[in-house]
Amino acid sequence: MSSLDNKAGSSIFIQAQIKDRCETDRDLSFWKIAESTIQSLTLNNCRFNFCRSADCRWQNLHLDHSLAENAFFQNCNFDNLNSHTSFHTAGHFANCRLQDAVADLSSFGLCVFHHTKLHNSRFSEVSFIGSLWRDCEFDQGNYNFVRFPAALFVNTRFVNCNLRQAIFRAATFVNCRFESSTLIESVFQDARFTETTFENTDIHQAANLEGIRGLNL
Amino acid sequence: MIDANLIIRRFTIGSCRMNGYLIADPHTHIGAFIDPGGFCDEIAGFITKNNINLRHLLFTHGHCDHTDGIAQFTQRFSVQGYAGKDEVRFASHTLFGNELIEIGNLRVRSLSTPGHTPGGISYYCGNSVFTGDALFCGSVGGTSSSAQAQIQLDHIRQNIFTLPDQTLVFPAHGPITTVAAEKYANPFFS
Repeated sequence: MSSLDNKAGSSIFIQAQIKDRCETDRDLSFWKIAESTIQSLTLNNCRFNFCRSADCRWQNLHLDHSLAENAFFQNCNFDNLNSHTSFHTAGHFANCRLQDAVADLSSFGLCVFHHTKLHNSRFSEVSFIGSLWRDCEFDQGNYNFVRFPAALFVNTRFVNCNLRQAIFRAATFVNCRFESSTLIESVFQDARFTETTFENTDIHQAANLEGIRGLNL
Repeated sequence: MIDANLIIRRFTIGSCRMNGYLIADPHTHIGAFIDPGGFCDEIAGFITKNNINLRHLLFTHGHCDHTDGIAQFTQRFSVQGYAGKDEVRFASHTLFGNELIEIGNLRVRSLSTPGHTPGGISYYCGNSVFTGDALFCGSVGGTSSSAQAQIQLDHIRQNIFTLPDQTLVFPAHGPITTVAAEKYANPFFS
């Protein structure tokens, strides 16, 4: 493993292999990691803010009661990300793929996702308030009671997703597409749609369509 | 480390599966439980493992899903209760907002957030605020009238949204959030 530790406690990893690392009550903020593979990293009650990661493979990143805010991930793959009661606020994900992610009662508020795919993820009571999604895809996911209030989706697809009770209040959809997805008891109150289509998806399953604009219902 | 200044643990409790929070001073390990809507083995285990000396029950308001666990806590711990006026009979300390509660070396400030109930209180400590049913991620608590709804929005603006943007928000239901996310994106405040 190649790593450099500086005085501030931050770490730089280049072409590193990190595995079976479990931390509790630690501040691991300001990691810089490139072209590396993280096979298992468990963070309990830790800080992991301002992580900068490029061209990495994150496997089994587990966070419980942890802060992982203001991160930047580019060209990263996440397999089995697991987040429980943790903050990922104001993060940036560019050209990333999240597969088999599981999260509950966590926040990705104010995050930016660009050209990022979520595949087979299971999120429950997770916040994406005020998030931005451009050229993204939600594929075969379960997003029960996930909250996207005031989120902006541009050129984004939802394919085979269970969006039961998902909250899209005051969200904006531009050139988006819902395919074979379930919207039972979802909320689209005051949502705005431009050039957005529904294929084998019934928006009338939603519990609240009050005040929506841009759709001919 | 989720808040450098205090121990915080979220538990899912009660039949409503609400969020109850244990906070404690990391130095003295004196602690408080916010909204004891139930009790569970996980709480007991955490208290034992971390040697928490639980002395306080803090109530954001008096609805039963936030108080159903009082008996279970008082059977196990010698605790004092704190709540807004006429909210919780058990609470011997009445709060109106802007009081300081000492929990070991911690100073917890009460913040008046009425609307959902007349005596609603939020609790601010370290870099964290516990908002009960006043403020949720992307939403606010239900109220009995439009006048109460306006009172609730006004108090949240005055007492919660004036906290630093990076303040962590821990509601009694649903996901955790931050002051910045709610201030800039909660549709009920646009």
